[in-house]
Amino acid sequence: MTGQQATLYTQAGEQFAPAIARLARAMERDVEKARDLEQDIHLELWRSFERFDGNCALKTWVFRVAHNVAADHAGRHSRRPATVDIDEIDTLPATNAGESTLAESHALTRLHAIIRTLPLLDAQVILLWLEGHSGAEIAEVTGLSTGAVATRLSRLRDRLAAQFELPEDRT
Amino acid sequence: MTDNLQTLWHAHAAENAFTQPEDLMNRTSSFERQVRRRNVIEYLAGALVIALTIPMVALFVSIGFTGMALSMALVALGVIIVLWNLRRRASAEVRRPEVECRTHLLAQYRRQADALRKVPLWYIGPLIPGVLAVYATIGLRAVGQVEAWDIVRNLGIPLAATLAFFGFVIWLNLRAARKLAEQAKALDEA
Repeated sequence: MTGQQATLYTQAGEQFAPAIARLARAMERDVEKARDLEQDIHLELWRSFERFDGNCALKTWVFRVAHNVAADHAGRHSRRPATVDIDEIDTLPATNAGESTLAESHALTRLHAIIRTLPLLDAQVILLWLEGHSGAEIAEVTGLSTGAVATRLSRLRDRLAAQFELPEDRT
Repeated sequence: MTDNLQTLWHAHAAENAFTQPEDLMNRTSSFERQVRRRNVIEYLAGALVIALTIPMVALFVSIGFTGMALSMALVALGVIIVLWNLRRRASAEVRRPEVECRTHLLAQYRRQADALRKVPLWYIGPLIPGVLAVYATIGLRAVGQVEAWDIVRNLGIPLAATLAFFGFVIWLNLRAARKLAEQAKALDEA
């Protein structure tokens, strides 16, 4: 363990622990597996901080690691439903009652269900947007151009707006 | 129904904390546990093949059927090569999750597509010599004792079925590789 590794890990935990938990719960429906995924992300973050070179912001580093570990998890688990293009979301069935938990609203559960059906890169873009990342920050985490992020985000938001009746003003 | 997804989103899991570093020291990721489980299964499968093959080879040698003993040894060798290839490919994977998501996904798709495309080489290929040797040994032993046409008829159908099965496995893998390559191409153009 290096001093820098421990410092970065503590710093990342203070700032991003809830976001990592939200990501894990969005990507994995099973509560136990989501907790396992969350801890896998913690572990990979801890290991990765040994290699942190300061070439990008801590936030960018944390979300890259988190999303890549989550994407690997999704890729390994065949229980992930077949991906559906965002334009086809209208045809998705409504979430069944069994998927809801006491702690989560129906809307959140439905949002999770939609995210799990998106192609991975779309899911990553929308999750980063939900966390409040700017277009430039999303581009830095995902590796897409800012233009590509804007286009993708606009398309995703339009479809989500139709599903959740979002207000017209956009951030 | 909320009219603000970001507010809804941030209201949940707000109290979470990172796992303590000391609790991470002895932890292995689910990916590593999966690899470990797979390795154990591979070792057991390899051990089983060897355990079954050795007495069979000994038996065929003892009754003077050397050709079949060699064929069985070739089958076992093929299985061991396949298991070794599986292990070599799994251990060649270097994890660097801090790269951009698109780069990471692209690398995963290409790696998987490459592995599937090369299935004929590293998975089916090593099994072929043993299978052919078994059929050839049986066929050669029957020469002079049975009509040539009967040999072709009795061995040809099972041999064709075996080769068709291998061909089907190759086709399935190549089809999956093509899909992954298409996904990689789409991602590359994103």
